[in-house]
Amino acid sequence: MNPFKQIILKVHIQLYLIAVLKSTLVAGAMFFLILLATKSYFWASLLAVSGFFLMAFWTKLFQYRERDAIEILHQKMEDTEYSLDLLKVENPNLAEQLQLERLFAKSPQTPWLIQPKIALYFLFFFAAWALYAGFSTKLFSTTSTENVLENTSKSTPEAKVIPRFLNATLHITPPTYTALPASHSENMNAMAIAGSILKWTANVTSTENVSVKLSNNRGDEIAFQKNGEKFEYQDQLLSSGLYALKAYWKDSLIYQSDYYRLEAIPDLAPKIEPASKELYTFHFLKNPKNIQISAKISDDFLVSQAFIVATLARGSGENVKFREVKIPISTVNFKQTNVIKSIDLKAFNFTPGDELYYYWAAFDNKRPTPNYTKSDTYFIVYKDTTQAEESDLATMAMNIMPEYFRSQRQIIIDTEKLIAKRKKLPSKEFNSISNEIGFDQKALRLRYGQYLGEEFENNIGGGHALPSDDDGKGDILQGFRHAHDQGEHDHDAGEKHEEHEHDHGGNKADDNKDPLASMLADYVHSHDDAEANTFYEQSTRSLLKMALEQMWQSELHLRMYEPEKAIPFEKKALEYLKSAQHKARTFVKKTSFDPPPIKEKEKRLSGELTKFNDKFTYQKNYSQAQIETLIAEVMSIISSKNQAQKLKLTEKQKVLALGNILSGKILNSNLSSWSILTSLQKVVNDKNLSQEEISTLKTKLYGLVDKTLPSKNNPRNDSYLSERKLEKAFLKNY
Amino acid sequence: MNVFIFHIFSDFELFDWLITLALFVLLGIQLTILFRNKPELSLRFWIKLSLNLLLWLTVTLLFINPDIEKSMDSNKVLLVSENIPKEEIKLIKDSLKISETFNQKAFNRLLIEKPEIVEQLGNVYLLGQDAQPEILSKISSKNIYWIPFFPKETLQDLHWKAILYKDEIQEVSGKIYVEKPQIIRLKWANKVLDSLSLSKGFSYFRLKTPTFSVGKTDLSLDLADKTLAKIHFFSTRYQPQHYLFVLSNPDFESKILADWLGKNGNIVETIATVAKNTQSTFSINQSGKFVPDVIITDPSNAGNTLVKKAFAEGKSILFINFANADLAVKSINQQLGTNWKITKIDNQENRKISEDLTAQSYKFLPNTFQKELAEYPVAIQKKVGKVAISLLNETFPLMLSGDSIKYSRIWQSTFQALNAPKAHNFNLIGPVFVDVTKDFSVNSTSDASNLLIEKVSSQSTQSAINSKSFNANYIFRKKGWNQFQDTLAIFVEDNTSSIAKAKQLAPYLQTSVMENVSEKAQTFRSTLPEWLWFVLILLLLTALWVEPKL
Repeated sequence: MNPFKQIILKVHIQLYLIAVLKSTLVAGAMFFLILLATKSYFWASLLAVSGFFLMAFWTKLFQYRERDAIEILHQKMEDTEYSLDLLKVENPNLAEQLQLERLFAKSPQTPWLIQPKIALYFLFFFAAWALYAGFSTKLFSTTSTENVLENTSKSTPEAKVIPRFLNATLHITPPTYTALPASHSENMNAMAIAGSILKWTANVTSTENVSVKLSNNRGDEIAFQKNGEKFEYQDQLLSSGLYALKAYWKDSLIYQSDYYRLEAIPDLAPKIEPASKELYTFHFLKNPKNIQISAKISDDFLVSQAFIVATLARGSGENVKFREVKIPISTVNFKQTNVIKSIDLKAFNFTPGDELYYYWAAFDNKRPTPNYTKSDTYFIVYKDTTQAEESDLATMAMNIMPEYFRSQRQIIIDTEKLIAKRKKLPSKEFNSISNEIGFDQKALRLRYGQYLGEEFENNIGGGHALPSDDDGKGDILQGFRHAHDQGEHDHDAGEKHEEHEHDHGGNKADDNKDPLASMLADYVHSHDDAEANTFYEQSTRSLLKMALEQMWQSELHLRMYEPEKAIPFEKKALEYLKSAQHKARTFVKKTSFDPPPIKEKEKRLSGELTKFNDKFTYQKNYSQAQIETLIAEVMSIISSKNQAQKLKLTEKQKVLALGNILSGKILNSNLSSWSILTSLQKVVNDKNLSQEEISTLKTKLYGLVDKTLPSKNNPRNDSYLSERKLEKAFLKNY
Repeated sequence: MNVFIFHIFSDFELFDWLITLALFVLLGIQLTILFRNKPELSLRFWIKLSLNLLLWLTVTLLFINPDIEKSMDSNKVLLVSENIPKEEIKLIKDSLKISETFNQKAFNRLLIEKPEIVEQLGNVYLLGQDAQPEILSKISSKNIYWIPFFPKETLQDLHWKAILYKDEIQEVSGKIYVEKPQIIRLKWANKVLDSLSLSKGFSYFRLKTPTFSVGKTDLSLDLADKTLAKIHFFSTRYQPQHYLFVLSNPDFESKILADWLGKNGNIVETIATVAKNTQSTFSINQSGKFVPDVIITDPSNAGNTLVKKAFAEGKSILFINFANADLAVKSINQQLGTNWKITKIDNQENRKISEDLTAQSYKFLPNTFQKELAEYPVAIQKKVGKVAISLLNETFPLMLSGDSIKYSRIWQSTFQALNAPKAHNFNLIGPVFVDVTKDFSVNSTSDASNLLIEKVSSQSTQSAINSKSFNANYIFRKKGWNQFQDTLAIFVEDNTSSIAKAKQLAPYLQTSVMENVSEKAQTFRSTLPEWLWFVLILLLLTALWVEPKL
């Protein structure tokens, strides 16, 4: 590129730069001037921008100015001989080429286009700025003094400027451990973690003589602190509640806000969910000595530490020793984790018979006092197999089978059934069944026999445990051998014996009686003796005995395969049994006690009155506010309230009182009726409620008294005073 | 119909002469202009001429204003108010066989022009609520039959109590004609207090609600989604009453009841026999002399001198704690001269009313001067005083179990029906309309011959029969709430509604039985309305303007 083209370009750029500078200076100057005149940044910037564009147009900022640049160069550089235009010629002819060569032969210098004229622009700008800077401070300072003067002059005698409550902001700083961000809002309803720091900042037009207070629903107030032009109050959120902001100017209330909610969200204790649901486990010798236990531990913020507390109990009876061990969990400060821990039983020296109790515990990171949670306690019991327990012994000794016997009524039914089937059955089977029923009859007889003290035969179908010499004839094994081959022998023996004994019972003067026994009879309590054994009184016992006799007979016939003959005895036995039962039942009734009747009229109010105060009178007064009446009154206040019209003082007090009572109630119950409070507060503050708000408020208030109102279907009771004489006469003659 | 132009010049005045002159000048100008344009005697010309002549004639006729003689059956004339649908008029005309119908304005003009027509009139039937006083005063000597007209689905009548006490039953009753089955509701804001399903056609309705507010209250009476009327009334505070408990022995039921009454601001005294010749007295909220309004006692005290004396003085007695209802009621009947009849309805000793609440298994048989509460077996007999019997066994378990709401409901219902008449009672039936005479009565222990309405005193007359009653009539002049006496208020409504107009007319007209009068044809004259002339003139002018352009 030849140097001339570069020079042209540079000059061109200089032209643009100068244009930009000029436009900017003019715009800046305009900005300050207009700001000074209007004190509005908007207008100042708007006009400055338009000034800039105007100036840009004027200085041809947006035009292509190569032509101008060339012309300026022609003027500034004397030896160019007005031939710079030739540079643009694409195919120069000979003459042009010669001229160009002449031109190129020179070494040109780029001229500066800055002229002293530009200083004027600077002057203009600085003058404007100086004017603004100087005047504005002076101007504002004078106005402010004027304002003060005005204020003081106004506040003295006549028109007083009442400060206005502008706005309030609430800054919530949650406790640091929660790591929650602080929030800042104009919404006065605060919902934060308990322990958060709340800071209210209230702006009022003037702070003079003004006090801002925070009031709760009971009307207690806390004053804000004045901090420069603002009012501030800071406190810690501990529990839920309601509050309102009030501003006073001198003595008068100038602002009262709606009721706002404070909701303290509690920091929850850590949550421990052990994996094992089984609280009580046995440990056996063969089991592994390392137990794996796991639990999920979590918290709404952080769990600062968790551990397992294990207690080993050893010994029995009064000699039990405990050893407590705390097993820490290595992970700390976590939000949620699944802890797996193995307990080495060997380390505990866990021996058979020992018991190990353990539970999980965790602290969260709440300050100053962390929340603490404990899981259920788990038991591990090391089974000691060397020690036999008493209950085991009891079951080992014998296997008690349920006793099997049929009722007398069942026997009758069975017998009748057998008789009915007689023709169908082969005689062998028939006989067998008959014998079976006979056995049942015997079993039942033995059962009842027991009640009469016939304890010698306690083994159904079995013989004597140890056969007597008479029976066994020296066969020692007889009692231990199950001699199936001997058929009904055992029974026979038993029966014979019983019959024998029975006879004894019936006949006291028995010569077989042991003389020693008869001597001792008066001194010993012979359980075996049915006569001496008095479960029942005489008649009951005799009835039972009669029943047993009938059973004997029935069994006899059954065994002889004659069920028809057995039936009458069976029925008789049942009859005796039932009457014996009946007798036993009436026993209690006989012992009842009938007190002699009290003569009420004589006895009543005839107590001793020696220490009685004759003037037994006392009084009390209820002065509590009648909430229903209050609601009723407030309903009509709202009903008749005119939008434009303000409430009277007494009406206001009533609404306020109701608001206070209800706020307590609502706090204690739920927050569903919240809108009542807000609307009431609006009414108190003479704010206009929308039509919808009014009807909601009315409806909700009605809901509060609805249930206590008398039924609308009750008869009318028109209150009317009548002439008594006339009324009496009317009723008499009616 | 014959049109006559007569006596035109007989009673001409200067002004009339001038107009006549002007008319002829006008005709002259019209014709001059027409003929100056050298007319060809074409059809066009004749049309132009005739139009001009017609215009002139019309203007002249407007000035002359000719009468039209009608022969009419003036025995029966139907005067129709504005805004009455044609079908309705036709229906009335047909059913009453009336041939002549006028609207109020036309009739008024007729009366002004031909006052003698009044003499010819027979029966005048007035349809609707608009009645111009001028007409009424002129035809007052005639038989006027008033047929009130109410548009469909608007209230034809409405009543309520304008002043009452809290807990008293407010009753809103009225008449309405509905096109289709609809539900009429009495509402407080969004809460429906009472409703009634109306079937198609004409219905009477009666809606009830216990008065729940204290002070100025407005309910709204809605038909479907449309508000028919606002019910404004004033309810006054519940007046504390004096309650005396006379008990044979202290018991828990009475104690809780006494406490409840006390907490509701009443004055209570309890006298309980605690031993022979020894009584305990317990009073709540007492100050000054105690004269009981209501005595609460058990049936065994029916013969108690205190009870009997109070009853003779017109006090109310409430018997509670029945054990042997049959015998107890008999003894009450004997001692107090009541005529209760109860009958056993179940073999069980008690019957269950609701959870935690039982009653003696008896029911009341209806009897004169007796009424029973809607929900509970409590009945009241009116004697000189009132006697109430509550067959409820024990209500205090409700209170102890925390159901104070039901407890309040039971006893509020009972005492609401039982309480002695209040010292001041106002029998003022709403609605009250502005500029309409309102009759009302005041029933008061104190002299009420001077009533204060908006701080202006108004006279009332004492009733000859009941010295405690005072009747007054007053014309309220101020709309909205008017202060009444010291603490009360009366709402006065605008008198533009149909009901208000009907109420306004009612004192002057009767809607009595209509009788037929002998038929005698009459003739009278009427003029064409002015607007007809103007329309004609306008039409002709238009024609004249359009004609050259065609």
